[in-house]
Amino acid sequence: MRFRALILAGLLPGTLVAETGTELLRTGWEQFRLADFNLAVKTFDRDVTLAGTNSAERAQALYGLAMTWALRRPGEDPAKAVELYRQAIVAAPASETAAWSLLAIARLTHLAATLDDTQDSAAVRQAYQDVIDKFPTQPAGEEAFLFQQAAQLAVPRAGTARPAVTAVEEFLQTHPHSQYRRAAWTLVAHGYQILGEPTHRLSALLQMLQAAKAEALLPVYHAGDYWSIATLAEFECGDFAVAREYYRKLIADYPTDQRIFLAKRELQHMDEVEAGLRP
Amino acid sequence: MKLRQFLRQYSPLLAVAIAYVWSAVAICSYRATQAPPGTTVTLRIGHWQLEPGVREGFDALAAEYRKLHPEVYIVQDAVPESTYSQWLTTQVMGGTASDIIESGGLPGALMLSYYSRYFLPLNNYIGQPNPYNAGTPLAGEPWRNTFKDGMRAGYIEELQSYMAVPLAQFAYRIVYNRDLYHKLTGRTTPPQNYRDFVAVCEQIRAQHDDQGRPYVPIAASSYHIGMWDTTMCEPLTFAAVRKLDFNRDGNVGSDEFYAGIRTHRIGFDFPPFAARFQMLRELTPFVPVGVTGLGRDEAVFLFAQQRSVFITSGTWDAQSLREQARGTFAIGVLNFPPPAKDDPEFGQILEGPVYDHTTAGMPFVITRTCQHPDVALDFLQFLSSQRGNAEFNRHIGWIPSVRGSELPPSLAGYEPHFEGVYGAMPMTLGGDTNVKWQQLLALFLINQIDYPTLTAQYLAFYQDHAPQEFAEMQRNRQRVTIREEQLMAGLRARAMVEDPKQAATTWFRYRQLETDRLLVRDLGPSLLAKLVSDGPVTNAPDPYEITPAALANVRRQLGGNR
Repeated sequence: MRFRALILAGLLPGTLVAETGTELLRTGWEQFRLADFNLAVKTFDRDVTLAGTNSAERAQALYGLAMTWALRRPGEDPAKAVELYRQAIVAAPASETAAWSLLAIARLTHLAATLDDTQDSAAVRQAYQDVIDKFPTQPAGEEAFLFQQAAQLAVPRAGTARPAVTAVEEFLQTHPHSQYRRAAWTLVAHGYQILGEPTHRLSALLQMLQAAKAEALLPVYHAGDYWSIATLAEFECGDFAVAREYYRKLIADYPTDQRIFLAKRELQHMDEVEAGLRP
Repeated sequence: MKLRQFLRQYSPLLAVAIAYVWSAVAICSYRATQAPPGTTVTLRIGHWQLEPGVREGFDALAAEYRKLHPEVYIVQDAVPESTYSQWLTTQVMGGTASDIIESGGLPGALMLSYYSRYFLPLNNYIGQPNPYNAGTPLAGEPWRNTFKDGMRAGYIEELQSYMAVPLAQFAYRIVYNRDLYHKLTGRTTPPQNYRDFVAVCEQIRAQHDDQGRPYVPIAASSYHIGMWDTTMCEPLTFAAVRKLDFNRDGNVGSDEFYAGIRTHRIGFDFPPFAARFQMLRELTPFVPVGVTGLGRDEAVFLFAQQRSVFITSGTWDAQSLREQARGTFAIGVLNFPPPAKDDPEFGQILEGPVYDHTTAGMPFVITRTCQHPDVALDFLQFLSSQRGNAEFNRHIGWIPSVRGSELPPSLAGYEPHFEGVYGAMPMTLGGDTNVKWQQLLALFLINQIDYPTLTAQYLAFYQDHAPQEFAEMQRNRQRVTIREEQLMAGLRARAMVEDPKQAATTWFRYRQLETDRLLVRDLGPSLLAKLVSDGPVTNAPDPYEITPAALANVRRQLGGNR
């Protein structure tokens, strides 16, 4: 009997090992990443129980549990997820976890609206605004702002693009140290594309590239950025100096890129255009 | 408890336990006996490359490496390609994978999850010099920059990480039977341009072997005919980039092609489109009858039996073709001959040499279960050093992936061209249009229908079905949102619990992916959808046409500089 019990105990992983909240959190997220959602739910559940009244740990465990119910497929339960997110916010209202939880609720609202093909609904805007109002300086708050403006830009109309561009430009002014400046300048550039203002769009793309290089902690491919800037400068702005600079950067930094032939042709083409315009 | 009673009660469990212990001892002792004396580290490298020379290449480089590191012994797990995906899956899931593995053989989404779960990222190493490049022109250069493609083939966009080390490059060329070519044409120099090529094919086709069978100039099959189209004919359509590349990324997507057709900006009568199929029609008399029904091996057989002079080949097949010909006939390699500039039909249409879509391939990763990841990394650096990579590919007969590595003499003619034109006619949008196109193309290739009939029938079908397929494309984009959200959630959670130094990098990757894969993902497609919904236009400026306002600005600046 004792022998049988020992064998069974040995076959059950983790039963003889005490689990800490940190370990359960890591395990739960690993299971989430591996799409083992049933296991993730159980692990986060255990973590919630273990956390007890510890507000920070409880919030993190609830956040993980909520995220699993929100994003698991199949078997998702958005309503349950929202309830759990709200519990996480109550557990630690000023925490980073609370901010991400509130953003997650806004994202769920947005995703539901997208499936209904009502991308820029008032409910979506308000959901993001809640995050912005409660956590204006947290990354989650900044992300919420950018998603809110991106939703405005997703339907290309001048009437909604103009206020979105204005709002994001103001954000860039008031958030000089934001880690989302590359994302923000990308939205501004797109907004100016909708508005048909290529010079401002070019300026935004140049700022975007500068921000991208300033933020980079890992090597990033910029061949596409160089190409976008060069072609916009040449074909829509008539700024041949910028066009030449970025065609040459592409040729120098990415010599095997597919667009090299075109880049060299355009350098030649600009010379021909200028020659044709000179008296 | 008496012994007999114990054994009777627990015999099934004991049998399982004994079998397990016996298997474990057998495997461990087998692996131990492979390793020579003095070995303290055994590395296993798994791959599917059973082509001639590959295993020999790994063995040779492993032996060289052992001279530098006598404690390291490297063993290959060479697995047939047909079973590689199952082997890879069971090995990684079972935690028994080789230390270094060739990644591939699985659908994209699955491979992506394997990268994330089972393989180690290389980000921390690719910015440092490869120590095995000391004393070469690549000494001191970041490892990433020593690859011809900047290690692009090893970069996984979705993970924003360098995950794999690519060890070779691949290209398509025409391989030809030099002896038969000389016998049938009297020439030793290969065709210099397209018309020359057509002329020698006509000459070859007019002759018969000693059994009275006509020679078939080009050995081709359903597998090969696509190479001729992609590399020789499709580049004629390059001019469509200037008309249809609405997002100006340098490529024409199938959605952009649809937008162009739908808004009457382009049609199948666009001269470069017609030229592509004119050239394809001119080539089809030189391939076997019923080419679309033939398999790859049938074409190789035709070539090996010396009933054909030309065959297309990727570099991965070059060695086996040489082996087939060894002792029987001499092999030559030539580029797909382009039309001369003064070619009456195609000279003004082909804008330049053809771009070789050669990214480095043969990517190898380090598995998370590797007991000695530092040694595995070191061996991969050895294999991808300038000297090591040249030597490795010399054994195989493939193109090195590292800059400055000498091309094996057998691959003269396979040097990739990285400046040139490429195809811009992706005319299928979804399942239905793809099936219809393949059906009509097959009839065209066997001369049952001409180009006007091909395009008229296809256009009618396309206009009927493409709108639904375009809408489905937009819906598919929404469907993957959940998967992107899952990826972001996992990455965000990782960053929230990591130590601050590691977290900074993870947060960076998170913001990059969050921006590109969620925040701005729908913006470009929404503009294209608007272009489609705005309907047909006349005299709309092309994406690569300087606008009047831009021209005015140039004029102004020139006037200011006088």
